[in-house]
Amino acid sequence: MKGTALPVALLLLLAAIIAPTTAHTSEDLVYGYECRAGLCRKVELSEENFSKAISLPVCRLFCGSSIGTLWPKPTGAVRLDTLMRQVDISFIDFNITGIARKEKLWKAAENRWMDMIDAKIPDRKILTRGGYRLTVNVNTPDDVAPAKLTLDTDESYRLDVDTDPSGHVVASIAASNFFGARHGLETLSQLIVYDDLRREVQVTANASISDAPAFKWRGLLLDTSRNYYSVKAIKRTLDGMALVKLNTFHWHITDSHSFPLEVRKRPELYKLGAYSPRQVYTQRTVAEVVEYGRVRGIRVMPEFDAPAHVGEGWQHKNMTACFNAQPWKDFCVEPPCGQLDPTVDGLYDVLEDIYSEMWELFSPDVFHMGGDEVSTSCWNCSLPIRQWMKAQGWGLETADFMRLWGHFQTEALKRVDTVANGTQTPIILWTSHLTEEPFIDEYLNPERYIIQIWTTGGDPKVKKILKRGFKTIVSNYDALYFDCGGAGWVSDGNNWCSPYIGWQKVYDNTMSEIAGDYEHHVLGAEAAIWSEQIDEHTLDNRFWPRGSALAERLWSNPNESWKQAESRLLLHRERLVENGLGAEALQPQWCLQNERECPVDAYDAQA
Amino acid sequence: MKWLIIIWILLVLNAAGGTKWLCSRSTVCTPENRKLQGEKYRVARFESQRDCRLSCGKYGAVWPMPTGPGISLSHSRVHFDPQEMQFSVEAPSEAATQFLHETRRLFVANLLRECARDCTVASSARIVVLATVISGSLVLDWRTHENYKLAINSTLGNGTVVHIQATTVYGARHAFETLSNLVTGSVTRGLLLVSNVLISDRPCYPHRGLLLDTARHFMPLQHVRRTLDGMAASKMNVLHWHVVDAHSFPLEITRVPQMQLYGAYSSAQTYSRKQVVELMKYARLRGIRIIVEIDGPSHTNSGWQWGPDEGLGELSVCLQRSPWESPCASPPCGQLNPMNDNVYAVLKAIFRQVAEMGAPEETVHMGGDEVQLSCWNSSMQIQEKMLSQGYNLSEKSFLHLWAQFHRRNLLAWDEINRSEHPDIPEPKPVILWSSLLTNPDTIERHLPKERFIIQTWVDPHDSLNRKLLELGYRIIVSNANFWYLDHGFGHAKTMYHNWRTVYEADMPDISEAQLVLGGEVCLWTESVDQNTLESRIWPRAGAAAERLWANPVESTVLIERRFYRYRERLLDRGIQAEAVAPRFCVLNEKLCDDPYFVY
Repeated sequence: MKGTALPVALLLLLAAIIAPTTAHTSEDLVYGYECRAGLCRKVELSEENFSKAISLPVCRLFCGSSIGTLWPKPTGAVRLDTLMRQVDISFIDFNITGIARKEKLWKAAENRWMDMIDAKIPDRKILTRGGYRLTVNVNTPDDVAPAKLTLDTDESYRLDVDTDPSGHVVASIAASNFFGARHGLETLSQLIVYDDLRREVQVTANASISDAPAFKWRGLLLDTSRNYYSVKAIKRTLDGMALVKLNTFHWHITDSHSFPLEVRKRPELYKLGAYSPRQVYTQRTVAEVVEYGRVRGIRVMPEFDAPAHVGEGWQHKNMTACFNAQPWKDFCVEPPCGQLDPTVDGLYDVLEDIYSEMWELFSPDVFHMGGDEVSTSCWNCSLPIRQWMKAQGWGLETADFMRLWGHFQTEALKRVDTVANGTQTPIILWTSHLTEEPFIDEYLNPERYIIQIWTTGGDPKVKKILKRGFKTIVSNYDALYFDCGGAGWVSDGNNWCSPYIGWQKVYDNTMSEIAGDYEHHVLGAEAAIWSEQIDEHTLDNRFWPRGSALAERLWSNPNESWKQAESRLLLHRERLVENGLGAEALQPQWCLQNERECPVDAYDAQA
Repeated sequence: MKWLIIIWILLVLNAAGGTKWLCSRSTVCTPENRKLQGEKYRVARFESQRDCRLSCGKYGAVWPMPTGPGISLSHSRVHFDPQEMQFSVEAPSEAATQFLHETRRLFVANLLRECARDCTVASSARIVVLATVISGSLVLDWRTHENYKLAINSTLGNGTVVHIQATTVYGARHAFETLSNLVTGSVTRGLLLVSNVLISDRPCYPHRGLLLDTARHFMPLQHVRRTLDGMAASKMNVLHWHVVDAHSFPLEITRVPQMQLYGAYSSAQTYSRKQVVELMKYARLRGIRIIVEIDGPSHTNSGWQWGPDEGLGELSVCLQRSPWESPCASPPCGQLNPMNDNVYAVLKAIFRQVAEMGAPEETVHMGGDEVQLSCWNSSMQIQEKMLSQGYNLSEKSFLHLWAQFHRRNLLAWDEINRSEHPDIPEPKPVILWSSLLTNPDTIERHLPKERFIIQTWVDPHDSLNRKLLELGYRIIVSNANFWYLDHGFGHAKTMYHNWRTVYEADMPDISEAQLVLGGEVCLWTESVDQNTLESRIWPRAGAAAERLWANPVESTVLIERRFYRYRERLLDRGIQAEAVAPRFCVLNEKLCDDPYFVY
């Protein structure tokens, strides 16, 4: 920190002269921080210690931890200097090499990065002038094709920060494509902090980091059918995901409750199925969301859940069974009931139209066909279905209904392949009766299907699926269903998967524990927000900071448990808030200011 | 743009001529073309679900439910423009008249939020609101009459007259609140009002509170104000402001600036004295008292550290305890030093400010929870002083010391009030949390029942409530197993109390129950800050509000639809209330009900 004493003295003098009207200047500060024995200690500021004291974010960047406040923590070598340099924010330059820079994607990524720097500064008017120039060099090989995230994308990057003697900080990011490079930018922004004592933006003077994710599928699922979310709320979620390098937004866009997606060839679906004409995702807004995600390194993957979880929007088509049937408990797991009737020929034409518009909008590299919670009693109560099955010479036993389901899946997949031009796009299905023995072997091909697991992590069914060579995505509800813990809405008491899942459990939910020897078959994981009791007003606090806990589990796959990550997460949570996310608080602010003074479980037993 | 306008017009026309809604005998609102089997529908037709809800069921859309008797709501409506309403208020004092004008202003502002699109109506019905209060007093305490009568009469010739009669301005403001529940936006423009109404109403309990902790996390004032808005919408009347704790001391004490200087998280995270006074006015206009809690002797650390540096000795002891497990319930540790006279001087200055900021009749909450006798017993200085004053070091001695602490503060409080508010003749009772000190076997030795009201946080089935009542203590109930709204999140092992649980919390039901002043739902903020404040409180606090207002016997199954409507009203007023069910279930009444539930 040499060389700061004089500027600080000067600054105090200046502050008294030029900023007397500002409400909160560094003169208001009573406390600062000092790094002592690897911990940031809150100290009362005095004339003697003022030059030595630093702000909390600055202190935490280098004190006691080799990875500072980075979240998720890098998986490769990390070297962070303790020296900080003031950045002159009016002299930040971007150099992006290669022809790819022409794509507007890069410009959008640069703008976003500058916005993040801006968000760190509480008041530009009181910012201390001066500092080092900062140049950000991004080097990726030339690539003519537009950047698209796939399962083969290399998301690794290398970041070097150096200070040259002429008063210039140079940050260089090397990656093999846009997605790695943007992760590098994200990391760089976490090395830049605001010091409220000196009222400066500061950057680590020297650093080198190499980094790559442990898992390639790092996602959040949002259900926009049980309750509608504005595009603004979805974009904010994507912002949060970008901050922690999550890369998949699984959009459970429709369900039996509402059909908010504009399908131009079948407009009745959303006209009848949306909660209101204003609660529709038009094709224009969907395209906007997809591009917004791409800029943030995120694939926006649509799910069209079928044959169950279908209802609103389909009412006049004669293509559904048990739609809104009562008493609903006899036909489905939650109201309103509804299930496609696989025996109606015209059904597959409608599906093809939905798929084809989804393909135009999302160009998915992986597609989700749902496939959960099919109820045989629903199909069994439909006379035409029973007659059709008899005509095929089938019985009406469970195995026969499974065959009907298998028939649906086969026919629907043909239509997917038609719109996908035979690209053999990998298909995701939820775990269900169909993914159990013996049906899984009869109807699902491990070369084609990825199974998304939502049973508990310890369920023996999981190993049976993995053993067959299926690639999997983990969403075990006992750790990754973020809607657990609210009120029951179709029952007394709290909801079915209560209690609330703390971030600690999310963090410690390791893939190896779930998959054992088959961990290499796990593509990654997703946390889910099912929206029965969540809407726009509580979205942020349900996702964050627990989404960040998942992000570190998937990006870094740390050996340590949450206890080692706790104090870093408290600071990271402030970063989420700074970027406009209404993240839940985890501990009293006192615990943020007094590192490690609120040890494990301090607030657990609170009556 | 033109295109948008055309679409909009089409939508409006479509809605205006759209499907009508019907109300069934079991209070289900259904579109006419989707009648449910087994429901018997009345003949009246409504233009929207919200219109139907206004009078479907005995209580319509009024939350909390009026206590009657003789509630009647017509199925007919008056279509009007809120700007065209006329008001006439009558009160025996200038202050009360002024209050009612303010009430009217807030009422109209709330009505404007109800308008679905445009509030203006070309030919608005004529509505005159006549509000009369009997008392000119603005005193708001446990004895204040909050009753009111609301009558709406619409006739062809005379238009609509709304009569509001109340004993006090606070009853009148509740009536206006109820009136706003009898209004909804029309699908075209303007508003609809139930055209003929008779409601008489009074609360069952005089203390209907919400505790807000602003010490574990600081809450910016705008969020506190919005909390007050939600309380006003729910006819809650006490904000118990747990403003300070061991974690931080954000409150400015002008006579002891060190408290805030050393105790606030930062200079931006503070409440100035002036702001608090303004906040209290804001609350009053909404019929809400703010009772400030200065918790002690436990829960003190931040803001109390400076004693030794300034020659006042240790004000709070056990400050630097690590591990914190003992001797305090949670970090950071700290307990006021009862043997240091300077502690009482500082407290007296704090209490003086509390008395100066509040209304003359207002009291104070002195905390008193979770005292760890072992903390005091670990201080050499305290031990020595106790021995020199003839105490021994038994538990009994420490309890005595603790009680002494509260009684000494009470004397200071009385003295302050005698000088600040000489017009208030009787000494005011103060509030303490239930604790070891309020053990029914010994409480009478320590805390006189005329002067101490006990806020209990035990389970309703715990015998403490009953025993305290039998001894003649007044109590406020805040059972942790129903009414702690922060429970059930984080890594905690506590249970989330869903809105039904909150609603169904039993109030003590014994012959001494008139000593129950009421209750409070509590938001402790260890893991809540401004981002989650509103969704933790709302709409669940509203469930408690109805419990405390009406103490109903109805099952939550029957009140569910009215509760959903209440949640939407909070949203319309800008409060981020948590969702309770899929939108589908809100729009499609009964379809999500448990089909096997037996009424």
